[in-house]
Amino acid sequence: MFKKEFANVLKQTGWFVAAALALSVALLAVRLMPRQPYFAVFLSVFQWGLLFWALFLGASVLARERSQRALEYVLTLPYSRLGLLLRLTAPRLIVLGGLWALSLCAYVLKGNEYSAVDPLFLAFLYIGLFATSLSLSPIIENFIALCLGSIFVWFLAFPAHTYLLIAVGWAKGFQLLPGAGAMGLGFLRNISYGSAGYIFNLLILQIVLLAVPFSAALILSFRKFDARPSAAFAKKYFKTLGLSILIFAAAAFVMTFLSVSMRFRDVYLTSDHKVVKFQSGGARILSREGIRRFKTPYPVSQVKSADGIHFVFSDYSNNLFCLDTAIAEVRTIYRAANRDRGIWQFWPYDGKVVFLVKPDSAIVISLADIDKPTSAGLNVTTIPFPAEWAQSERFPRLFGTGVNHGRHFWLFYFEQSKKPPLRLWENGRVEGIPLSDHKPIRSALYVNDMVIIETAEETKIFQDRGTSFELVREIKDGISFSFYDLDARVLDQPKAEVIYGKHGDKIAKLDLKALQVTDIAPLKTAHGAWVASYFPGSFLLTEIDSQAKTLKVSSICDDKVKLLKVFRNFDSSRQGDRFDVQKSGIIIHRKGTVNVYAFPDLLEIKF
Amino acid sequence: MVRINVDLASSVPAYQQVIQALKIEILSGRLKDGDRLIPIRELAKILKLNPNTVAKAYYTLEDEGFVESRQGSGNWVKRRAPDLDGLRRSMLEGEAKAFLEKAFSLGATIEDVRRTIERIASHE
Amino acid sequence: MSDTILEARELTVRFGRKAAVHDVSVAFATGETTFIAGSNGAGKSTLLRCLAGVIVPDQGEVALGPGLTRGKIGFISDRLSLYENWTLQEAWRFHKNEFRIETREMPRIEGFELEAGRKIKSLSVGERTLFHLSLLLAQRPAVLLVDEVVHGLDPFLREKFLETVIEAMDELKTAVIMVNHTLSDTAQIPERVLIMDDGRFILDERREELERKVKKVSGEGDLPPYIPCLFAASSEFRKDRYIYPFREDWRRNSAINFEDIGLDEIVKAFIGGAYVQKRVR
Repeated sequence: MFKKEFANVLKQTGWFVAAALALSVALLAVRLMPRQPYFAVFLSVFQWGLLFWALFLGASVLARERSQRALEYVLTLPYSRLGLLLRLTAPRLIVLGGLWALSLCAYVLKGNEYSAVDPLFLAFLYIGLFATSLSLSPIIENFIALCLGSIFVWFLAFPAHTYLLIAVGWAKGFQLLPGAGAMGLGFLRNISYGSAGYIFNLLILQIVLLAVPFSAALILSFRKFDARPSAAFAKKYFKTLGLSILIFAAAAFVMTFLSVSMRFRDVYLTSDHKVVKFQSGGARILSREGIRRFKTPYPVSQVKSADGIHFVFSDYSNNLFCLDTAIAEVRTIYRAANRDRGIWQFWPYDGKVVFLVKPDSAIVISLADIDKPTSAGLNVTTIPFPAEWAQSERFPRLFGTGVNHGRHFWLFYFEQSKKPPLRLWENGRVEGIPLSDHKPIRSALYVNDMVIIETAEETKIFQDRGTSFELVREIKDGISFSFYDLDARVLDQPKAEVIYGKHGDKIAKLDLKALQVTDIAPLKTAHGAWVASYFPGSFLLTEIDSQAKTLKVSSICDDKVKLLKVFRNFDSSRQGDRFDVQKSGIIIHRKGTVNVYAFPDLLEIKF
Repeated sequence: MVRINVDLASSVPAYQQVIQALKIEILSGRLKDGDRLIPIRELAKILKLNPNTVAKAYYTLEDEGFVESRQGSGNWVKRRAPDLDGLRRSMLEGEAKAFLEKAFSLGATIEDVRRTIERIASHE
Repeated sequence: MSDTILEARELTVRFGRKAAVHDVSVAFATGETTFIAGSNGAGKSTLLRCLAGVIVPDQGEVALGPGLTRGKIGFISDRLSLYENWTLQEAWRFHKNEFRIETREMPRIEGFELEAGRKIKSLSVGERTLFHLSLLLAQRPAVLLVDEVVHGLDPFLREKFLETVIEAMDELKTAVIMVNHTLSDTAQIPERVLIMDDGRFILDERREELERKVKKVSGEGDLPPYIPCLFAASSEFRKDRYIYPFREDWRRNSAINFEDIGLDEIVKAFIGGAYVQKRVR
């Protein structure tokens, strides 16, 4: 029976493949897809079409018997019900698995070229759909009703998973409903996917909540399947299904609860050598005097250091707070009027916070004082962001700010976007910085009334003429002065004489008066080396040696590189190993433990 | 060919009818000594009887000495059935009794019966 | 001598709220021929399907006797369930593989030829029935379950069918359990008669016993009260009363003429009697 069934399934699958081939041709012919190689289109059609095919394979398990009136005959064959189920199901599983394996091969060989979907991700969906339709097929005799019913049930898994996450969040002590809005669920998904990974979540969604209970219900109740109209069997099936779902929903809850970790995310060193730890649930200040704990009602979303004493953070309910470590107090800077209009980005500087709010896909810049508590609408200056940039899908980055003739301005560039950077004045006026190349910007700096922008191929320097920017220097040859986004960067019209950076496999300096680049020292390897800076002021060279598993930190000063410290056991390939250069010191995460080292000598602070 | 008809509506059980019919065949000489009887299966198929019924009839015939069964080859008419004449006589009496009962129930007298018999016999 | 080859124990089968078979227990012996008769909806087909394994009882179980496997049970019903789109050759090859049948050639019923390349759905009901029967017999079944297929056949095929079954009874000593509405020319075949009504047995007797115990009384005249009347059918032109259980000594004592009747009339009387009882209730 297995052989006959297998042959039959293969035959039908042949039609599926033929249909996919034909559809790909049609799509290309009608220009519905952008011009691509045929195989790319076919791979896409195949991968998504397999979703429907998985549904069909599961739903068709008794279809032939029903349509050819052979059901009673099949039940007289000398097999137990489970043996029968196995012989009907196994060929379908094998074929589904085989097709998936083919798509996996194609993905491995050509996936990058053809932007194919991750087959592992799709595998979960295939299994979920197949198990659902297979399980429902004995009780729904009409094939179309069965397919529609299966799709409906399959879709129910998604909100079910969301409610599961809500339950887990509630169990972890967070007020997420009511009033948390979309951001609350966003937090849950973030935490869940962040700590457990998307594979784990897919496992819960498609396997634990769906495939397993439905398969269990089928296997356990099929012993009672017979030639009577499906209503008789349906009762037994649903009883088993209900029980299965309860059990596995509980299992899913426990698994998700255990997998979601609310461990600390960020560790900071304050100017007076206190250690501040932020977790989703709040913050802790650790000092010689002891530990001060602060619990936040809503999960913490982003944290930025303002000046080494004040730490500004947002939560998933779109409020903005300031933790003052000097007096150990949390103040509310801004409370969102409408929970769904989120705080998108914020940057503290000079006693203020600039933050972007996104109501109705427009962007509004707001300015608030760190020291003075504010509520929505009061003491907050708001400027609407220019419309065409607000539609941009890329993240704006504030890289400089200042006052000119009494008017505030802000300088933004857009991550990985071809849109040029701009200066936004407080009266709403916009000036573009004439970066004509449309190449993605790696980083930007505002210093000495000049804007320095680094792209993949060159570094361009523009002079601020007060109402516009003028290109004054282009430096090619792969110069890279990476000023990566330090929390402690000074944004407010800084002045400096030199900037140090990486120039190929050497350390070089950019003289800000002469606008000349000079090499000053060689690098052992360019890869794994960065120039970090609390700007302007100190420049640090950090080098990761992935073979020796060390992190070397040196200072760059007066054109000389001086080794400060070597940190051992640092493995950049290990998940979780990272280091954080802050204004007062360096925080190193190694193998799950955190060590804090304070400037200037990088002595360890025990906490 | 053997002439056997089973009357389903009769009060006489089927296997008895088979026995009677076969006895008649043997006594009349249509089935001779040494002839092979139709196999049980075939007779059952023809008459729509349970093979066990036919088997029972054959066993009875064997018990009464009309037939002997040989392992593997079926049932055979026996060479010399005991007291064939006596048997013939008792069967004749049985048939006559049944006939007379019917005749009398029609209202005939013994004279009517004798005359009718002679008339028919002279025509034969 | 009679070892039980198939047994039903306290079977209950429900369709919705109604019990089609209610707490039924019965055992069948090796080589035994049983007919199951009864009114429409009595539960005969359901019982047979339970024995065949096609229906799983809600309560109770079907026990297979020593040495009996599911592969040695043949089941044919008037639904004539087979893969309709297959040719006879395909159907035979499939059946042969599933039931591990040793013979290589397609089984033939003598005097009845079918082209192996024809599709099953192209066969008439009669042809399909005989083809299905030939498949089952190739299994050399120890039990044959037949559900109301005989009356759908034309006289020629009907005879072929019965002859084939009789042959199996003799050659394989197959226990045959047949559900039949009317008996007519099959009346001499069963050794045992079961009559079902409303999901239960109202009669389970050997055929010869039954023929001895059921008599008919035709004509006018009252019956003495000690004579049990199973069923009375009367019209302007006749009055028949069926007596069960009959005792021989009544024949001597009274002037009543007790007629011997055939099996199908006996069965009719029982079914009629059951209907009467239902109306009374």
